[in-house]
Amino acid sequence: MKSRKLLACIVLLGSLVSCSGNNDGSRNSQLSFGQKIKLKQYKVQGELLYAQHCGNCHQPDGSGLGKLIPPLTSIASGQDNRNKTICTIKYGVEGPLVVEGTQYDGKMPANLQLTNLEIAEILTFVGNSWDNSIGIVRSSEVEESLANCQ
Amino acid sequence: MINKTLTGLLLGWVVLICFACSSSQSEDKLPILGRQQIVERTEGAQTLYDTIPHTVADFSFVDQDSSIITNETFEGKVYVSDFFFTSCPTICPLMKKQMLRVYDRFLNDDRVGILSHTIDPSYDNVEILKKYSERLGVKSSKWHFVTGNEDDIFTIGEKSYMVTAGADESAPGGYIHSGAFLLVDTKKRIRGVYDGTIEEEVEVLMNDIERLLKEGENEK
Repeated sequence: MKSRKLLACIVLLGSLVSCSGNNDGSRNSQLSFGQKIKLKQYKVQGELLYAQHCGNCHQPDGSGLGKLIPPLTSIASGQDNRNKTICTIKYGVEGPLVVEGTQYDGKMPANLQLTNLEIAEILTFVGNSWDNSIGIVRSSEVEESLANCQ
Repeated sequence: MINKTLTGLLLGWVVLICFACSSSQSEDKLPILGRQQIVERTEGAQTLYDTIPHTVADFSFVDQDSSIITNETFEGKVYVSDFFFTSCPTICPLMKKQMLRVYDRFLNDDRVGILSHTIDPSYDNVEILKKYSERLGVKSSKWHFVTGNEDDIFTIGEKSYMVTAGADESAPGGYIHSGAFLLVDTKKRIRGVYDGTIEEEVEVLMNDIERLLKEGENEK
């Protein structure tokens, strides 16, 4: 009984803290407690999805493969690049592409089966692993980006 | 009398120890894989049975430099063989990343070679393989990417290297193939099979290559 009350308190406290924090989350250190939990959740789910959909080519450590497959270890955090990355995950990309000063010229297949949430989780994992720190990517952001893919 | 028994015992010990040593040495050798063939022959009045180990059959393919690659290319060499295709969306990039480790480790050792067969030869022509190997950043004298007759490639995969390689429309990319790396010795015998997608297994492979090279030195 006592432990139940305690649990209820913690849940209440957690939701209060998460409600009070209202920043964008572009820097992980500024995140509220609730957002940090969400970021962790997305990262864990994203890691599984990454292994399933991305890791074979981009490698488990995100290092890519020679000049065939680009690395994902230091991606830009600007909104432009976030939009572009979201579109690339969903619709793939073909032809010349410069990543970190190296020109690639291959083909990445589309992943039309991925939902907005799944894309958000994958990008949250990639965007906060290795040298990356782009903060949480929400499914609402994915939805918006996908509506404006070129 | 006691002295004689003692000497006998001692001698027995020495023999036993020697035997133990030699048998443990042979256990150190890598196994010879594949089905052996027993061949009968007569020598005078005697009938003798020879055990012929499984070996890689004769082949002739073309690599990324348009050079013809046959068994003779790897004469006197230890080599690692695998099957892949350049447009492969599944395990190939993982295999190639791992094979790159083998390449880097033995780059300056001419006794070691690498042979990657495409199982999609109608798409993976010499030009595509050339571009692929260049973008991977490897020398063609060390790592041969070969293409050729589709049936020949599938057959050598299944019969010689004992791996799965074939077309399958239901598979992603249209082909099924194993992610195996095969270690072949200087006598065309297969001495090891490793999962080319797993880092730890490739570690074992690189160790085994060293062991094979030592074995070759001892036999000289």
